Amino acid sequence: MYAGSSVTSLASLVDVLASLREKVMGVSESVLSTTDGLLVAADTDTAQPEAVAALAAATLGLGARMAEQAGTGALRDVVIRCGGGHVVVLAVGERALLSVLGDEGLDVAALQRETPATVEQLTGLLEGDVPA
Amino acid sequence: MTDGPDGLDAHGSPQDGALPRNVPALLLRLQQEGFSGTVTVSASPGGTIHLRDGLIGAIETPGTPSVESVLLKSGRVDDKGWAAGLTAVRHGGEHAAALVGQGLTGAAELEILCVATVFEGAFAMSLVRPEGWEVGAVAPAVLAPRGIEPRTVAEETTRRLALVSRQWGSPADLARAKMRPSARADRVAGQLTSRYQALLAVANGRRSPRDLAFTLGRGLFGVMVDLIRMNDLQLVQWENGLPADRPSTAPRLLPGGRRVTTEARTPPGELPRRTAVARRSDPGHPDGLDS
Repeated sequence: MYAGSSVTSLASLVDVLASLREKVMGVSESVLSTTDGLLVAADTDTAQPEAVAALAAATLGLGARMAEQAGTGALRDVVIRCGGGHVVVLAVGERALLSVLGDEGLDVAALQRETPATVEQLTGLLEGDVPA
Repeated sequence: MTDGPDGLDAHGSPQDGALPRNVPALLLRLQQEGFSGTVTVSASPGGTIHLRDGLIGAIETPGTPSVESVLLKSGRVDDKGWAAGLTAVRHGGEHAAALVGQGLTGAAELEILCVATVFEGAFAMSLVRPEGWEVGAVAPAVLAPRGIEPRTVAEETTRRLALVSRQWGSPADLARAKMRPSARADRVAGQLTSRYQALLAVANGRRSPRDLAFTLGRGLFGVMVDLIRMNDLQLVQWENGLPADRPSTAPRLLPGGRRVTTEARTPPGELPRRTAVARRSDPGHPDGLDS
């Protein structure tokens, strides 16, 4: 369990992350963090959630700058493909990031189909952080 | 390009002029045509079947490790060697021949692995109902030197589904189950085979049989058969209880308080009708790659 705005919303966030693991073949762990690299919630096994959270901010920032430099339009996500697995980083609204860790067999197409709904759910849960 | 609907007939044979009814029927038709190219099946997991002259040379699916995964995970081939093989593909060569030519793996060893991966891929894809398929052009892949007849693959897939169904229950349910070592496993760890020990070492309650296969660089079917045996030996405990291996035989009531019994209620001459409560869990979908 990791720091969040309230215990109730933290459990809900972790549920959404665990649900993504169930829905998409090959997803093994995931981390939700703020855009400045602080850990919000994690569904992890061996990964260090704080380290992933910090690196997610840097990864997406670099990706956005590269996309801008290349003139390829708005950044959707950053996919890191390795010999033994995948890391996908994407924005959740304007203030949070989602990092998804998967094995080499990750169903990337299924992940891209599922992430809009996951992002919407997470965004809805995080809206409570902002005072009305 | 040909888009096909979900097949429902488990015994589809090609019919001239009509769309194939399922993937096995499609593969039989493509074999008759001597087709070389790919069949991309949409499902979760879907996959790509690589055909050469109508025979299956490779199946790639997120449901079980590919030849690449197995070679890299086992350390048999390193990233540098794999990349060198890819370079050969770009220059018109075969990836498999390049790996053998560089001495990274033996020809027979690679052939065994390629054939095993075809059968594993077909089994993994048969666990879900296909949503559709698309026939496309040749794509690079590590192909078995001698392709395998679609009918052989379908028959072996049927045998595997039947074996898991007989010894366990729904293959699809087992594919989704998560497990961890039992207390007994710790006590007898020293007496177990290295294969069982390796599985217990990575069964952490989060991994499905498919995840274990990827973690260890093994095939899905082999992992599932080992887990069934390990369950019999009480070496694993399942998360959220034992996966449903068969329907309950507890008394069931139909609307109106009528009981479901084994007594024949069908009047002579009429066909029996299925009742909703008599359904069992998903036993796998023979319209995937089964015959």
